[in-house]
Amino acid sequence: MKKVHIVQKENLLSNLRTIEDRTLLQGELTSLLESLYRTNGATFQETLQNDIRLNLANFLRQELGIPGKSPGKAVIEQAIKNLNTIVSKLPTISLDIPIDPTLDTVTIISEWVRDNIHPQMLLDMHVDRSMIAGIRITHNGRYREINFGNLITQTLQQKSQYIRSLLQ
Amino acid sequence: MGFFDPQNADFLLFVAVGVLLINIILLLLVTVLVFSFAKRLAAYQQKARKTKKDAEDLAAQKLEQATMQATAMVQEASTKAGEMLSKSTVVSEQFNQAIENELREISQQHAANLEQAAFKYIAAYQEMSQNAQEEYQLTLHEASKALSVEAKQTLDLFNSFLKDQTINYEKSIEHRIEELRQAAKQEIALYKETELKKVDAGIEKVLLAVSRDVLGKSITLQDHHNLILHALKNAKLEGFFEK
Repeated sequence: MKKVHIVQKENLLSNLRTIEDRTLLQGELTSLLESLYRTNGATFQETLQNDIRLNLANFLRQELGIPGKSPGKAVIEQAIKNLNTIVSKLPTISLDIPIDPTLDTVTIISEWVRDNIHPQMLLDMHVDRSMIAGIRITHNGRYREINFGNLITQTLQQKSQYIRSLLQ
Repeated sequence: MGFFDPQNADFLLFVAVGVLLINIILLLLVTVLVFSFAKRLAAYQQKARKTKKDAEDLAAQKLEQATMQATAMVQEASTKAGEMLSKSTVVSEQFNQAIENELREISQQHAANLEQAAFKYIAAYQEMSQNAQEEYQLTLHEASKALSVEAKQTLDLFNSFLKDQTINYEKSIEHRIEELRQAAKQEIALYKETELKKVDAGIEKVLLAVSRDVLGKSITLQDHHNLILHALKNAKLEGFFEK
């Protein structure tokens, strides 16, 4: 039973591939916390049933022993906060690329990153069209860039004297 | 019952008569005293009136004597004053005559002195005038000579100054022309540099745009993925992800 729960937790975390995924999950956790002490509107159970995605809902049910047990509000709150802490501490890598990432792009990069850098690494992706082609990586305060736009500019600057001699 | 018994009527009558007699005697004494006092008072008053009258008579007499003496003194003083006045008039006339004579003499003496001084002054003035005229002519002559020399020197200086100024002006003009030439050169160079930078920027923009269009169309999504993975692999090989 415990092994199943661990697998569920790993699946839950493995589904988080970008910081947007993490933000979405944290929003769901916040909704659940609010529903715990809400006097009007949906209860915790109703929120868990209707507003939370299945993998997170199943993980929390397993974690809290629902429906067999009936945990108190303090236990539920603690479980949510623990999960939020784990999610907040997941490592991230920042990538600037010249194209709008597709799901395929995210999957390919995320798999490579998880296989080669960290199994729970999240991608923080941004689009920079001036790059034309290439990638800019920022990780642990370090920076690396392969930028075709810069390469073209550098080449032009190197050849500028020659171009000027042609112009004069 | 004895004679002196207070109950005795005779005794009482005797006492009453005695008392009456004593009163009469006392009354007579008082009357005598009052009369005597009145008489003495009248005598004193008469004496006082007499004394006052004598004093007034004496005073009137003294006043009359004083008046008479004063009148006599005034008459005497008046007489003496008249005499003195007549004497002083005579003295005054004599004094005026003496002063007039003295003044006439002094005036005549001064006129003579003034005439003599005037003659001397005129002679001295004529001499001084002659000397001054001669000196003036001499000075004028010398000044004319000095001016002539100075004018020549000044003219020479002016000529020299004019030459220097002309040379300086020419140099200044040449310097200014050179400055303008240099400024124009710098301006042209700056303009050329600015324009070339614009050309550079234009070329860069055009080339980047063309590259973006060409590469964007020619590089497929798969190529991008491969390029990204290739970059990540190279970064890993170079130890970029190691802590």
